[in-house]
Amino acid sequence: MDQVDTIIIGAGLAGLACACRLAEADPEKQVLVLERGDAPGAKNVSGGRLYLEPVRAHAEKTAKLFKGAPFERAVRRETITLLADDAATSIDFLDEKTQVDPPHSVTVLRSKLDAWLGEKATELGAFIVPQSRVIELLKDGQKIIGVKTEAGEEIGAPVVVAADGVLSFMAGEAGLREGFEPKRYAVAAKEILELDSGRIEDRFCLAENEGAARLFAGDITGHGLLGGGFCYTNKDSLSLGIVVGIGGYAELENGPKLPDLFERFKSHPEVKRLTSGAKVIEYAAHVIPEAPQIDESKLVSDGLIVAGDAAGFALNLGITVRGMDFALISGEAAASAVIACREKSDFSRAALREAYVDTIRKSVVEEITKFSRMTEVLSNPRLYTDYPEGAAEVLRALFSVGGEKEALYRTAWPLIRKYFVNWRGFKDWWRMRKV
Amino acid sequence: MDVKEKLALNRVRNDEESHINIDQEKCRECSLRACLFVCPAALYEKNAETGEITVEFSGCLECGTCLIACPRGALKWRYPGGRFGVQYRYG
Repeated sequence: MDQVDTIIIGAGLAGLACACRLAEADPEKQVLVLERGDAPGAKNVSGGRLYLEPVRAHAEKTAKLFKGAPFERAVRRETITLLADDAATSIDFLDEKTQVDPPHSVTVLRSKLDAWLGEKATELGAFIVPQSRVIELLKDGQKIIGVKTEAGEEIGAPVVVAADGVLSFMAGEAGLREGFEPKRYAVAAKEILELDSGRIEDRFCLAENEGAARLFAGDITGHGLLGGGFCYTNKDSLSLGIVVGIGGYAELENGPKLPDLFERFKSHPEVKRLTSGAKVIEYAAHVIPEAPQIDESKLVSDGLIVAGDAAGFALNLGITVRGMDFALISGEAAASAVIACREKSDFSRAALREAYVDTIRKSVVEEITKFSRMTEVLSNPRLYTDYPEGAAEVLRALFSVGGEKEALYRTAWPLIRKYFVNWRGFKDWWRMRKV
Repeated sequence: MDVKEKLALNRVRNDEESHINIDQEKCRECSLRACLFVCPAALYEKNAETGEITVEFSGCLECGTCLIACPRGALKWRYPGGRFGVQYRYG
């Protein structure tokens, strides 16, 4: 059996951050990255926004590497839109204080970004093997001692990093994940729409190279279920998508087809105006970890570290959606843990746990678990039905002129009471205080 | 735009062998059949005559939603082989 110093499964952001850090720290040690796609990024899908600020704070070396990375746009305009049936109520926030150089957050296309980071890793001395699917972890008792690829090769290493994405069959193999609980995941479908940069800037009110991030709350599923939409501006394309929690959705009887939900979202008057004239050039889908719960004891095993989506590192707060930053941070932390454990020649579960989990506890684990009640809040159907409809009704009444109109207060107050200021609204608000 | 037209835009290299296999025995006992609607590529269909569920694996976006949603554990789902499946140009 061939032997290397570290095997990384998956050339996504977690795997590549780990590879870069390891190769940079000690060029003598062999770092092998096994990637099932044609190239790094070929299998990777993200909504499209990466927060760089946490990366700079918690994964300095990776952040430094990112100078010159092919980002799309630095996000400066944030818009949250409540979608009612035929109306849209937006809160639009443009902030000159939002840092764009270096950017606070950027829009990205993963094929480009991951391929670029893959080149960096290769330059630093890591060895990336594309089109190579790992099918099995090799074990000696409980200890992970290597991997087996589809081609039948068996490769050994004292430590393996599973950065194989949200479905992480490798974490499953190692006994760190039992099955898939539907309520812990959401499905996202996304179109890339081609639109020239001038029109993007005009349409979204942006200065040159600035980006917009638009999130949509509304009844995406038509059943008051956890879900939403997004639209991010790239250089000369838009990333437009919907996200639906799998839990409630999969339990529907004869539920609406996801592609139909996508088209319904796209045909909303507001979304239609944003995408008019833009041409679809790719259609992608991806599963997102949705539950803000992390079990620290399931992040490492003897000879194995789990990083990125594979470890469930993602956080959806409705107004910010994070995942890629956690992938980079945990990838770099996995590398640091490998380096620390190598010095002691101890890759046991206990040693890895101390070296890895302690490093990411504040920056990743607690950052996610402090919002453990978020799923409960976001499962409230009123967020997707009553609130968007209510906002539209109140504004419709206030903006309309003619007919027999009451005083403004008397127009708005009954509607506000009907939709927001009532016992249910109070309960919602009370629940929201907990997050 | 029909989902089939969207899938036709993707760069895909098809394997001859399906990476998704349905255990028809388990599948038959399922009344929910979530696979018929949760798949972003709408690849699952019910055969009108036999009532069996079939999957057209070649358009698969490799998200895994069906695997997570299947209440009976009737799906044997793996990633397509190394050279196969969708290759995202944007991602």
